[in-house]
Amino acid sequence: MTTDDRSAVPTRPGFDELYASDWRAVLALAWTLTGSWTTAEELAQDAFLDAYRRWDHVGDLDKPGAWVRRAVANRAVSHRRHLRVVEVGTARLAAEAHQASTVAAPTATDPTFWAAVRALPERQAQCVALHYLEDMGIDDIAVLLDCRPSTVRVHLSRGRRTLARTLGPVPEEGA
Amino acid sequence: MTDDRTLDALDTRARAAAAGVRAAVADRPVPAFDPDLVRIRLDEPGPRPGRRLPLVAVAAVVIVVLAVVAGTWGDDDGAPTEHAGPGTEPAPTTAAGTAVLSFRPVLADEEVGDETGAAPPCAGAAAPPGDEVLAYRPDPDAPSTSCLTVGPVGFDGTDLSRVEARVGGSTGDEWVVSVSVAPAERARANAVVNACVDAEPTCPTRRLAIVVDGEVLSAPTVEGRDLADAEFLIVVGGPEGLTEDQARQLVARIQGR
Repeated sequence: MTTDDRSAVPTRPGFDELYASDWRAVLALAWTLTGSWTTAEELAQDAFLDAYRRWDHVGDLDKPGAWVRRAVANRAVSHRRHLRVVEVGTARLAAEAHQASTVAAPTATDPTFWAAVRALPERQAQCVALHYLEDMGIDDIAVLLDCRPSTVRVHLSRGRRTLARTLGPVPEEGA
Repeated sequence: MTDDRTLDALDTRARAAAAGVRAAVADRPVPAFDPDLVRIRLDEPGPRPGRRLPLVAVAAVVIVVLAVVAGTWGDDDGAPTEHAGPGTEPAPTTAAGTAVLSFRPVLADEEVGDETGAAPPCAGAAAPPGDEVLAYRPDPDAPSTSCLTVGPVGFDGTDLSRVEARVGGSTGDEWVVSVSVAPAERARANAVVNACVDAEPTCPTRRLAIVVDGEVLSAPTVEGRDLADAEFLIVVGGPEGLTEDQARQLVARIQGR
């Protein structure tokens, strides 16, 4: 598919608005599912690029933002599959590099929590991330991931139970 | 096993974590969307199969490392590569044959005065084995040329996992070439970079030459430690920086196809 004739400015009506309004949410989703800002930005860019190229279709959708989120969620799990294969060899080096790194990740993001989310089965991780990150209900998640609400309910329930087990009891505070 | 209280606690923690992520994202600039972004991954070709994009991104911050010197490439005045038109063709896999990119510590810099770039004035200079003397014109509009003595290759294009041209840099709208070192090579690349930061004997000038096919593209002073841990940018040029074409060409040259 060749790139079409384009003037300097994209001519997809509505695309720029979607990009401006949803970029950060899509990036956040990508980060929770990959744990890396660099990778997350790359996946988010790719997902928007996909939407841009198929804007004739995506732009007509009821919720084009949901389409982009699904694209990024799926890319994130594909990325993860690849990661598992190769990360064994790089784990040690990465650990060393991590120790050497002076860049402090903002701890408010609770990386441990999201790492536990990423350790869940793929679909559970996607459901859990969408549920918490965007406060999405079961029906919305089902539409977004193109599956039945009952399936989402099971994924969410199992995911949360697993998380509760692996993360351990959290001391209650102020509630 | 997991009673309601535990799940409630989990929800609380999750919501706080989600709020933290949203806040972190809000702090990050929204990059300009560019459908023509050149994204070339070095995972397919090359002598190291199985290489892919940064697998374990350790530091996510984009470090503008190589903020460089005056334009190595000519812009405006008599630039040989003018755009043919506004609608740039999606650069096919054009670009000059196989280019070799390497990063080499600068051992010495001797200005040799007014020479045209055509006849490399440094060719005859002697250098110890492994080192090399290369001509360098920091400013293409100025006549002065330097002979840079560069040390052995610290790391090269095959150590990179990703190279791409994109809009970014400190001003946010200049063309830059973004580079990531493959995870397995980071420790080695960092050793080279840090030697420059510390002005060790292997890099007394604190400068790292970026050499493409024997041509010194730039020789910036290295200012950041452990740069290979994160994506870093090659920001070439003075006020004008790289043009889009130049950035793409550089990526293609680095990529060697």
